[in-house]
Parts: sequence; C-alpha cells; structure tokens
Amino acid sequence: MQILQLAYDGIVIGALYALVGLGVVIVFRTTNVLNFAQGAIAATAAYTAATLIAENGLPYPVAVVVALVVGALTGVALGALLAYVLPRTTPLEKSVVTLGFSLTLGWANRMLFTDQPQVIPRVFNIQIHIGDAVIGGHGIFVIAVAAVALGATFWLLERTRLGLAMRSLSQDETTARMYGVSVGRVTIATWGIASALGALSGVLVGSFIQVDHSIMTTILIQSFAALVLGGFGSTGGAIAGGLLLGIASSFVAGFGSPAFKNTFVFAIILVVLIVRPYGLLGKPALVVAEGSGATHRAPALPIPNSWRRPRWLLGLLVGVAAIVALPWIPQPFPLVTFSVLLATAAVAVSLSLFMGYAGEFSLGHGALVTLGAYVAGIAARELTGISFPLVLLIATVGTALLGALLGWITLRLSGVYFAIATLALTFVVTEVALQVRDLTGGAIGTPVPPPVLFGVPLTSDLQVYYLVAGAFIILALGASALLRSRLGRYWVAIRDAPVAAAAMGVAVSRQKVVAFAVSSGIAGFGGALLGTVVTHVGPFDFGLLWSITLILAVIVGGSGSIPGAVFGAAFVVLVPVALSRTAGLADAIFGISLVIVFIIAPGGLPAIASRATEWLMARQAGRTRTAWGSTDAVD
Amino acid sequence: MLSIEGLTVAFGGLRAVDDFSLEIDRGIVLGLIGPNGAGKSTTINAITGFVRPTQGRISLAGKPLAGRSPQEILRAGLARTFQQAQLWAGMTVSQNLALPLEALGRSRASAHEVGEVAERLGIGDLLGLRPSALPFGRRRLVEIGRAIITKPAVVLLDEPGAGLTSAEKANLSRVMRDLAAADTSVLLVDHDMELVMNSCDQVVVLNAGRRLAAGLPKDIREDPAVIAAYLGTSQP
Amino acid sequence: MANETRGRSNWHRTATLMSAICVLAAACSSTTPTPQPTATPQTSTAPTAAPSPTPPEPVQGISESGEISLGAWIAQSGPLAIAANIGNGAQAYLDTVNDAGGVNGYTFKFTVIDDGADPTKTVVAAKQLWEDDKVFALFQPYGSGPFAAVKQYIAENDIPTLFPGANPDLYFTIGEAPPANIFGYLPPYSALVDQLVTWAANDLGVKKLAVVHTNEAFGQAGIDSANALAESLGIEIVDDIGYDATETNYAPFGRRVAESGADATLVWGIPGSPQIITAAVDSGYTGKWLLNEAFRGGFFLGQIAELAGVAGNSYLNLYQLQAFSDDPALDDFKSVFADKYPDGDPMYALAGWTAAEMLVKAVEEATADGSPLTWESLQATFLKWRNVNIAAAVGISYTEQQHIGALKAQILRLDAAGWTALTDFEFMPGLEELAGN
Repeated sequence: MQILQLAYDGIVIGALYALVGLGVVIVFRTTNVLNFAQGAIAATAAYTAATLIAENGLPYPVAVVVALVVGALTGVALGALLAYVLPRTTPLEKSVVTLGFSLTLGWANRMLFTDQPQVIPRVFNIQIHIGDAVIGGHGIFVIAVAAVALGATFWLLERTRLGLAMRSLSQDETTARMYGVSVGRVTIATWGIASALGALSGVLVGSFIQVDHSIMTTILIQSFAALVLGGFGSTGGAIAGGLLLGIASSFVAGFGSPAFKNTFVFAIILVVLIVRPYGLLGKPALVVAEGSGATHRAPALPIPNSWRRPRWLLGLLVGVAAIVALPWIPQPFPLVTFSVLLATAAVAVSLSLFMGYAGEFSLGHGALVTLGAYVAGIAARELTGISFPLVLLIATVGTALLGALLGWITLRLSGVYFAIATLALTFVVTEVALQVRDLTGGAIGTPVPPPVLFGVPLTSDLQVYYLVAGAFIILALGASALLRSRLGRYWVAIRDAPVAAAAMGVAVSRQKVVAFAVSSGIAGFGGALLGTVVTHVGPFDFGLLWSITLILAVIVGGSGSIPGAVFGAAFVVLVPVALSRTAGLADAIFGISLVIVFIIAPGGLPAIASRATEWLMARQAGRTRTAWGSTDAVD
Repeated sequence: MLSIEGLTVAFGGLRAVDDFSLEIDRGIVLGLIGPNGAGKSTTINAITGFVRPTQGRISLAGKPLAGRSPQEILRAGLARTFQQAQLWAGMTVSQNLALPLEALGRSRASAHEVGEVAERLGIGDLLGLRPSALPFGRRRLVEIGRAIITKPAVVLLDEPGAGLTSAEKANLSRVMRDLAAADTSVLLVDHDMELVMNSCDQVVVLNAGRRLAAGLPKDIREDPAVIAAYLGTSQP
Repeated sequence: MANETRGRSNWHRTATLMSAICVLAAACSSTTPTPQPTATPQTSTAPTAAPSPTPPEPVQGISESGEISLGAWIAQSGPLAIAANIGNGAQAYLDTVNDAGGVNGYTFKFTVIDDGADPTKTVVAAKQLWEDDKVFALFQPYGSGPFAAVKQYIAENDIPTLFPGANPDLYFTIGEAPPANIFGYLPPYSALVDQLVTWAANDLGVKKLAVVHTNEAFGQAGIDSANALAESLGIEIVDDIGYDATETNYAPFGRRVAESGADATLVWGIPGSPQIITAAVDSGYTGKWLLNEAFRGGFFLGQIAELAGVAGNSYLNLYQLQAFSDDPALDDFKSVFADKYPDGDPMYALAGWTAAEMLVKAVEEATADGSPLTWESLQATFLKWRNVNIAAAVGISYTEQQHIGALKAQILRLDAAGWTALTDFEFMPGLEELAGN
C-alpha cells in the first residue's frame, strides 16, 4: 500500500477538516458560541453553486462567488438573530439555537433546491503520477485553497485591528466595549467571515465528495474532533489537528481492519489528549467554555433542605399523581409515547445531573443508553425469566463501571476536549455491537423480550407504562436523595465554587469521575427501560444525533434539575410526535420552536422557576417585613 | 509552625516570587503586605497548593507541603479564604461550614462543631440561610468559619478586609486575635494598613517578589524602604 | 420592583406559550389528512361495496363508503429522507385511481407519519396508525431499524403489512413458513448478491473478487453472501473492504481495491460508493464492477458513468423495471410523474407507484365477483399470483411457502447508451423452488 498515496488522501481530507472547522473556531473565539449550523450553511452554499452551474449555466467562478455571498449572508442572519433577538441568552443556549437554525435551514434547502445528492464539477481534473501514487489536480487545488484561507484567517486574527477586536471580544465583552470596540459590528463581521469560510468549505466538499446535508454535518462533527486533537481555538491547532486526523484515518483504512477504524482513531485522539489535555497545540487560556462559568447559567434551584418541607412534598405528590393517573386522562397520543417519555426522562436526569453539577457535556450518553438496552436484551435472552429489577441492576452497574473507566481516562480534560473524548464511547459501542454478532445480532440488532416482574411477563402497553413510571419515580427519589447527601453537597460545592471546594478538602477530580460514573449508571438504567419499551435495540438506534438531542433536552429544561429533565424530555419527545403528520415540516418547526423557547425564556425552566420563586418571595417579604438577620429561612 | 524557605515561583521568564522566606510561629498573627503585583497572591497560591513552586521548601510543623494537592494541605492543617468570597450558593450557611469536616471524614460531630464556630464568629443566627441572603460582611465571616472549622494549625486569610465596614473590620481583628490566643497561627494578607497594624504581631513586606522587610508593625510602618516601595518615591 | 414585574410578565408569556403549544400539539396529532388532493370522510364502520348482496362484518380500516385506509412511517428528514419519494410515487398512483372513482367501489387513503427513522418514534407511529387511525394495512413502511423496533408489535397483532421497505431478513427466513400478515416486494439482499456473484464467476470468468461494503445490515449481507459462495464457485475473496456509513474519507478504500489484484469488485454499499469507485479507477484499477441497485440511475450513475473502464465493464442486477426502460407498463407512470413532480427523481417514486398498483390490482381481483373486501380475501388473492407482472414489478409469485414476491431479477451491463439487459428476468438462486405452480 502506497504510503505517499494514503498520505496525500489524508492531507486533502485533513485540509477540508481544517477549513470546515476554521469557521467554527472564529465564531467561537469571538463569541464563545459553538456554531452547529456551519454544516447547513456550507450545504446551502454548495447547493447554490451546484444549481447555478447545472441549471443556470453560470461559469464556475461566478457561481462560487455567489455561493460565498449567500453563505455569508445566511451566517450573518444567524449572528444577528443571536445578538439582537436573543441577547440575554448564554453562549451555550445560543449554541442550541444554532442547532435549531440548522434544522430549519436544512428544510429550507430541501424546499428550495432538492433532496437528491449533487456534485459541483471539479476545477482541475488532471492526474499526476508520482511513482505508484496518483495525485489528483483537484486535490491539490483543495489543499491550496484551504491553505490560503487558513493563512488569510491567521493574518486577519493576529495582524489586523479587526482581528484584535474580535479576540478582545472573546476575552471580556465589557472591557472590549470600554476600549471602543463596536460589539455589534464586530460580531456581524465575525459571522460573515466565518460563514464565508463555511461556504467555501461547502463548495470544496461539494466538488470533492458531494453536496449533501448529512455529509456536511458529518464532516463538521469530524472537524470538531480534529480541532480538539490539534488544540481548539488556535489556527495552528486547526491545521495540525485536521492533517493528523485525515492522515490517521487514511492509514487505518488503508492498512488496518476498517471494522474498528473509528475506535482506533479515537484511541489515538484519547492518547494525545491524555498527554496534552488541550490538544497538540492548544493552550488553556484559549478555552473559555468550561464548567459553570461562561457556558452555563448556574442552576438557580438549590437543594431543597428537607423532605418534610410542605411545598416540595406537595410538588412531589402532584407529580406522582399525574404520572399514575396519566393512562386515564384523555390525550391525543398513544400510551407508549409516555413510556418513551419517562424512559427518556430517566436518561435526561442522568445527563442533567452531570451537566448541572460537573459542568461538562457528554456526547456519549447515547452509547450508554445503547449499552443498557443491549444488556436488557441479552440478559433476558440468555437468562430467561430473569427479573427486571435485576436486569436494571446489571445495566446500571455495568454502564457505571464503564463510565468510571472513561472518567478516569479523561480526568484532566474539560470543555470541548472532554466532550469529544466522550464521543469515543459512541463509536466504540457501535463498532463492538456490529462485530460481536453472536451476542448482539450485528447490524440487525437484537430483540428485547417483555420484562418479567415477580415471575410475570409484562406485555401490555399499560403494564409496561407502569413499570417504566415506577422505575422513573424510584430513580427520581434516589437522585433527589443523592443530591441531599454528602456526595450531592460535594457536587454543589464543585459547581458553585470549584476552587474553594478544592481548598476545603473536596477531591475535585475524583468527584468528577464519580459524577460521570453515576451519570453513566443512570443512563444505562434509562437505556434498559428504553430498550424494553421499544422491544428492540440496534447499533445505530441511539447515535450521535440522539445524544445531541438529549443535550438539547437538558438545556431546554434546565440542567441540574429533575423536573427540568422531565420537561426537556417531554419537549424533545412530544413535539416531534405532535409534528409527525406534517409531511416534512417536522424538522423546520422543531428548529423554530427551539429558537422561540429561548426568546421566551432564556435560561429554560429553572429561570422561569427562579423568577417565579423570586416573585413569590418578594410578595411574601412584602407581607412580613423583618429586620436584617431574621431567622426566617428563605427557601 | 509554618516555614517557607527560598520560595521561587516563575512563570516563563517572569519570577512572581523570588527566593522568599517566611516563618510563622504558633499563635502568631503575621501580616504579609506589599504593593500591587508584589506576588502576595502567588505566594498564597503556592502555599495552598494551587500553584506549583519552581523552587523552595514549604513545611508545616516539619511536614513538607510543596507540590501537594489543596486537599492534602488542608488535611495537614492549613486552611485559607479567598479574595472573592467563594461560598457555595446552593447550600445553607450550616452546610457550607460543615462541608470541610465531611470532606476530611470528620462528619460525626459536625453539628456540634458548626454551632461552636458559629458562636465564636457571631453568626449563629444565620445558619439556616443561604449565602445570597447574607450581607457582605457576614459572608466573609462564614468563609472564615469554613476555614477554621477543621481546627487547622495555620489559617491563611486573603484580603478579608476588602469591602468591610470599620465595625466589621474591628470585629475581624478581634476574631484573628482570638484565634492566635487559641494557638492557631494566622497569615493575614491585606491592603488595609490599619487592620494589619492592629491585628498583627509581625509583618513581612513583599515587593516585586522579594522580601523587602520584616519586623514589628510599628517598625514596618516607619521603614523608609517600605514607604518608598508603596509610594514609588523615597521620603525624607 | 422591576424584577417582580419582569418575573410576572415572563411567567405569563411562558404560560401562554406552553398552552399554545399544547393546543397546537393536540390539534396536530388528531387524525389530520396528509397532503392529498381528494378529501374523503374518515369513519370506520361497515364497508358497503356497491354490488354486495349480504351485509358484511365491519373490517378495520375500510369505511362505510369503501375507503381503504393505508398507513406508513417514512422519514421525511435525515439520511433516510431520500426515500420520501416512495410515498410520493404511491400517492400519485392512488390519486389516479381515486380520481377515476376507485375500483369496484373502493377508494384509497394513504397516511404517512414522519418517524425520522428513530425507533422510539416508530413505536409511537405504529400504534397511532393501527390503534388510533385504525388503518386497514401498513403500506410500504420504510426503514430497517424502524421496522425492527415494531416487528414484535406487528407480529403480536397480526397487523396486515404490505411491501415493507426494510431488510427482508427481518421478516422472512427462507425455508420457514412466512408470517401470514406480511407480503413483501423486496428480494433478500443475499439472493441478489448470490445471483450477481454467480453470474460473475460463471459467465464472466471472475476468479478474484474484492468486496466493498458498508458496516450495516445491507453491506453485511453482501460480504456474508460472497463469503458463503466463494468456495463453491471457485473464487477467492481477495479483500474484504468494509466502511462506515458515516465515513467521509473514501479514497483509501478505493486504493485498496486497486491494490487487491481483483478481477472484479462487488460494491455493496451506498453512501460514498461513487467516490470509492473513482479513487480505485484513479489508482489504476481496471477490473470489472459488480454494482448495487443505487447505481441504476440518477446521481450515482452520473458520478461513475464517464470513468475509465467503467462503461462496458460494470454489471448489476435489478428485480424491477426501471424508468429508463421502454416497457409500455411504465408509460402511465412516466406521464403522471413528469406532470406532478417535474423535478423529482423517478427512481424511488417508481417503486412506490408499483407497490400501489400491485395493491390496487389485488383489491380489484379480490372484489371482482362482488364480494366485500377483507384482509383474508386480499391475502387469498395474493396467494394466487404466479409470475405476475404489474408496472415495474416482474414475475411476482406468492405462495404458502414464501411471501417475498420478487423472485426474479435480470442482469444488466453498463454501455455507452446506459444500462442494457443481458438476460431475462430469471429466478435468483434458491428461489425457484419457492415459486409454486
């Protein structure tokens, strides 16, 4: 196998990764927003160029210029939406809105253009032979364009006043304003430049691979991995990471067994990150988005102090009553919808606790759910008649151990680096499931038999619903108890003031591992429930997209809160089902609804709850005026 | 009790702390002062395990501390407060106070100890409240309470006077003297000269990372080199 | 008090919004008609086909006025969305039938629910269709992962399921009695591969075969079949090149093809396969290509047709006629589809149209003597079919031993003018004995 050939292949795709990621880096360095719509913007530009060339007969350079303008304007529209319509949202919430924008833009592309894949004609269709290796002229063109764009961006950021203004914005907006930086204009310029880069990458991908939404989005995710590998936030890192990832994937595909290619590539990424937790060329100063600071609104719901507090107890009783009474309440969805909802809510609780208290994101919870579902299926199959609580126990403990292992490996990682490392779970679980066919059924998956409780298999929708509901209530009570325990207080300490927590004796790193292990265990618990409700599990059922949707649910509902997890799960389960008869509009409406949620309630549920509580408290304080230092407990 | 020898902390080419030495005996309140940028924060962070010393030895009652984690240092008997009050907003004052005990595995008698510390600091009526409900000065006291509840041998107070009223500062001074009387050593870092002079038995001055002067408060107050360092000119 | 008023107004706004969402959700999720030109009443009571002497028992999914309700889950977005055209094709045919007054008093309503290919949504969609909408039958539900999720539910409730767009291995096992409630129109992937590879070995003299395949059910079927056949055909599998559907760096796989020394390469994967083929050709591969049905037209064919060594050297087998065929059976489709969806890709739509026509023909035959339509009478009609040709479907037979239907396929070669048939539609290996008499 020609090393030169594979290296060339790797460099070309690596250049594309770097270029795609660069647009994301620029926006991130200036606004701390992670632009999930970059893939959709790239696709829009690519479709524009392809259509102009194929149907309107425009010459290639003209079509590309138009496409760049279209892409830049789309990005500017998004940037303006975030800056002027949603100014009070955190960068994290803005990132979620970009996801919604991406869904809606995807729908718009399908309407305006086509949903069939297309291709943009290549510029140089020549082949150069160097020994046995074939170097394509178009590949060289891609590398050259990417290099020029990267160089120009570096020059812009480091050597011009606009670049200085952009960088100063990311450090501290208030100070930047004081120094005369016109925040609005710089932000718009940032989005325009970044989106133009995205458009350029779309045109290049469209000519090198094809014009297609899924491919653009996949490349975007892969470019995140490349950015993390090289060092997120640095232009040099984008180049280094892109090239390394491209070449690594080339060599593994060319020489090794592709069955575990992603596992292998992610192993490389993990090894690099263990040695250099901020990527090859990254520096800690460049990573702003971590913990409960810049990206998270610290959850306003404190630990309720006592089980006996009347208001909390009343809320609990109402919740339980609603769950129990649900099958008898007339509503438009089949009962199984709510089994799915509560099982999803269980998983949402797991992620909500992790995001709310450890302050990190996990892209791997879908994999843990998949694992839990497989445990349910395989255990019930191999140990016929096994009691369902035992199945739940095995699933929970198994995934918790896996979580502990991964948490320990990724101990020094945080922010984007940690998130990409958790992505490893997704690929590893999928690949193992595909290969260990005797156990997992391979690509087709395996059925999950009806759960057995006290020797009785539960087969009807109603029985399964109450089983799931019961399991969820037990989980919610257990999680609440955990938060009230000493462990929970350690987590609150780490969330609220991690430095002080360390100084006061809390082993912060160890607690992060514990938190991830607990979260993983609960995710496995939820996975066993989901597998049981769906009666089947396959390697692709709960992939990256599902993990991202779960993060979305937690943010909408408010992280760190159990009722918030239920609300968020309800949002991501019920809204698509409600929209499922709208023949293709579902994505667009869901995307728009995400934007609306944050317009109405920046901060999600806890912001609403805390403002409601403040309002109630203010009224109470008005009624019972006391002096400073009174003993009226404020809860 | 606490002994620092030849402490140097360098970031790249910059030496934030340069060959600094310090000794605090049992039951002494020692003030560490110096102009902005002198290296006081870096020194504290080095002592408490948040910054790795480039060179030098730090030991507490003979036990070496350099390079240890903050948790281990607390366990060894050295606690600190922070410039920006870092109370945990999601917990009550009582839970804030109890947590260090729990973290060190001494939770059995914690309710009693919490009550005791609260009495000493005069915050017994605040135990059920959340930090957000407290006035600023009281929050400082809670932080100090959190630092002393594990009965450390040495307490490091980082700018505890900032933002306090003069009455509160007087109270703070009393608290520190009481600690000293109970054989706890206190290292006080602050800008408020009056607070330092009133509370401390000894004062050490840090300037540009190096030890400039050390001695009794009244001597330091009149030391021309110290005055020059603060004002940037010498005074006759 | 600014906080207080802001808090109150936010609370009110949010409460209003949430109520609006609930109302909207309730409105949307009640049975609404999917985009259709013919509005028809939707009650489920006893069907009254015009020429019916005895009052029949009520049949789920057939209304009093003879409207047959069909349902499917089809992803409208995401990577599987390309299949949305299947629904369009089916709807187009049903519209022509309804516009002409139906058949024997029966008209057709087709409800599509978007499940986004998410199994947790498919279970909801299945129950909505069977229990809320009370459809007569599931008609072309799309997706293998989705089908696997509801397979048990379909089996337990004996839900009539027609022409699922899912891996036949999920619902049929050759040699076992087929489930009475399911009739398919896709041949098992393994049968297709068997026929193609056997042809390559016997008629093209291929001795060394490389297999490029995706790492999921479709692709795995390809490599498994090739491996199983290799020894008996006397061919050597020189390289097993599997890749993920989420791959983006395709070139290395093409290089491996070029290095493998293969006489022919079986390409049993869809995403990215044109790029793999291009990279292989660029690196000097001159062997033959055995392709999957995605290359029968459209984007995929366009990507490789001009490559060196592809024309004249590429083969595939298809179990249905294609839009490029001159067969008069497709004339109606071509004119209607060109009219309704001038920009649409006919490839998938033709499959949908064909399935719809098969269903309507079966209904016509079942009720020709005036008897009312029931699922049993429809089943019995299907089971009489021997070597039936309808629209693009060729040689369809259903027997007690198999409900696969599509037992035959033809081999085509890519020439300068396009795909040229080399053989008639012939039985795929192992399926002739199931064809019945």
